[in-house]
Amino acid sequence: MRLLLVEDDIALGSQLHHALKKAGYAVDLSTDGVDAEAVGDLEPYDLIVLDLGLPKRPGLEVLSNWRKRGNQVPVVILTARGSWQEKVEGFKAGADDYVGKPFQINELLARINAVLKRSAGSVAGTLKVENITLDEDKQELILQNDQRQNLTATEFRLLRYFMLHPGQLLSKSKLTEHVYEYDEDKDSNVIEVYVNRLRQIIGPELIKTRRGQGYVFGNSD
Amino acid sequence: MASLKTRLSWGLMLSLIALLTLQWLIVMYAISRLTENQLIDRLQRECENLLTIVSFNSSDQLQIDAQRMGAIYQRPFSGHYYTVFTSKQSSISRSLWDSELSLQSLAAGQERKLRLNGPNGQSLLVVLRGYKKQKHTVTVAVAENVEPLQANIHRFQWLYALISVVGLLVLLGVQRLMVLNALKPLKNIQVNIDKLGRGETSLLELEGPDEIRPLIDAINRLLTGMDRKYHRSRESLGNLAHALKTRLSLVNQIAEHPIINHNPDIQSSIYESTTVMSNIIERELKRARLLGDVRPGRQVDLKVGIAELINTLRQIYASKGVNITSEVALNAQFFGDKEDLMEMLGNLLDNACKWSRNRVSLTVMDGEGIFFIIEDDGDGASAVDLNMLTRRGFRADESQPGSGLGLAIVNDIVESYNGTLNFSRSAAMGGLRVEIKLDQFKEKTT
Repeated sequence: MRLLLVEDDIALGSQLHHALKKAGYAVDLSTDGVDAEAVGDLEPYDLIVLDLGLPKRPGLEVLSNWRKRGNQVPVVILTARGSWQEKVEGFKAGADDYVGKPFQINELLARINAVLKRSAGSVAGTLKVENITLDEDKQELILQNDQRQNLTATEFRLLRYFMLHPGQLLSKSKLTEHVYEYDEDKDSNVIEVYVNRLRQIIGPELIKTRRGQGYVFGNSD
Repeated sequence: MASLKTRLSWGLMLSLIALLTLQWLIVMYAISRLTENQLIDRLQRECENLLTIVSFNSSDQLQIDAQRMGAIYQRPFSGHYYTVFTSKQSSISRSLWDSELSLQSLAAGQERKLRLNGPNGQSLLVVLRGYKKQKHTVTVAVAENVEPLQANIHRFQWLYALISVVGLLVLLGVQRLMVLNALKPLKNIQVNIDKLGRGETSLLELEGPDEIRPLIDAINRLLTGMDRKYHRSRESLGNLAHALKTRLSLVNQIAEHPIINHNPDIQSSIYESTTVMSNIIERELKRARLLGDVRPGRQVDLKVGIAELINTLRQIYASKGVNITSEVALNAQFFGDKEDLMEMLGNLLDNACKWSRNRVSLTVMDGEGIFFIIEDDGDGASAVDLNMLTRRGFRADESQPGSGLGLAIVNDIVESYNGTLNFSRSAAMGGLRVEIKLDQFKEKTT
């Protein structure tokens, strides 16, 4: 899962960046409205955490501009202005959820998680596909026999993306875009390596290879 | 202080009455003087005419050629009379019949005018003149009844007075219209200020005569200044809150640091402090907004506001799947600040959604004022406790789980509208029932 964090307060931004990364997301940080609007349109983010009080362009305007251009990326608004009037305006502009400052990181993570699942069309709660379950808090995999399996950060991101999009054809470049951050070294061949590692853990039949096209997760067909 | 209109009317009325009375007096005096003078002139000429027909014969007998004096002196009591007399004899006109005018003789060259009661109660003006004719001293008197003339003058007096009074009334009417017209801009300003009070406009209309425009200008300048100040202080309060809350978020993040994370006691007391601080900021920010609101009374589109709010809440509670229904009475109207309404209903609906199993309802009713009723099907806080809380007054640092701050803000808003906030158990849904009654002064239809 790749997120865009838009926060102009440098100290809070870097802390959040760190916390979100720790929670298993690939995170890009943007500190002003104009930059955020451009990056949000260019890069295929899975979710954007948007502060409303931004320099150069207000967050609400950025959000409604995205929506006007048909960019339907899920957006969680993060703001210190917590009046209901502003909440209503935020949702009207196209937000998916709203977190008021000050917040605790667990609250933000829970909201992000819920929105991601809702946008992927799955029911909120634990992520469970076929007979495997992903414990998102501990970044662990729970297998059929309740056996827990630790995952590396990249393995976790990749598997979560697969599990949120079961039965969909996912190309290697798409996986790369959603698993890595903007400035990370993107080598799509590395995806093959990670897919193979995942197959060793969850069994080879759950991730199928479509030659020349990409991968499909799950026993949909 | 009496109204300007009355004062202007009285002033004008008194001066008009004084002017017209004076004019009436002068005209009346002039007319009676003129007619009397004219009459005297005529009587003097008659005296001279009379003298020409007076003669003495050889035996010193007084003789009058009465035929030459005209028929009017022949008809009895015609109102025109003459008398000629010497110390020994006298002769009267036939019109006098058997009555007599008691007159004194005059020396030659003398003249007197006097008023006498004549026959038949007539009032006579008499001119007496003394002459010397054929060596005899003769006194000649000619009299005329002035009653017909006086009656004419009286009729004229009445007519003149009547015209004056009608004129006075017409002038007063015209003046009243002029005053009303001149004061119309003031009435306009009053209507405008009422609108301002209801928040339908932000400035007074710049129309009116030159005398009033400076006043409107001054009020508008004051309004603009106050508005600017109010906005500036509101903005700076908002900025302060924004900056502080961002920093509090950072404190929360720092509390996630492994060093603190391993001491859950310290971490939770940091969290608690940041929450309380944030609640204080939020509450005071909103309270300051309520106090500083200079333009209450704007009509808010209830339907749209409530629909937007419910849409928002549906999204917030999307994962819980709360069914929120609303019913707004057709003629229910809310005059006030939209933000107040949103804040009040938002907090209460949010609480209801939080505590409900899956159903929340909002009913807006019209009556003596406006009623908002929010019910849920949960088994949240006890109504008795909540009523106690409102009576005791909320404190921002009250750490009521989840609902303290929201209810405190709702309470502040309801108080600022002089309304009442009541908690009870919902008979229809089983959960909490919150009822708000706000007094609403409907727009006057004047």
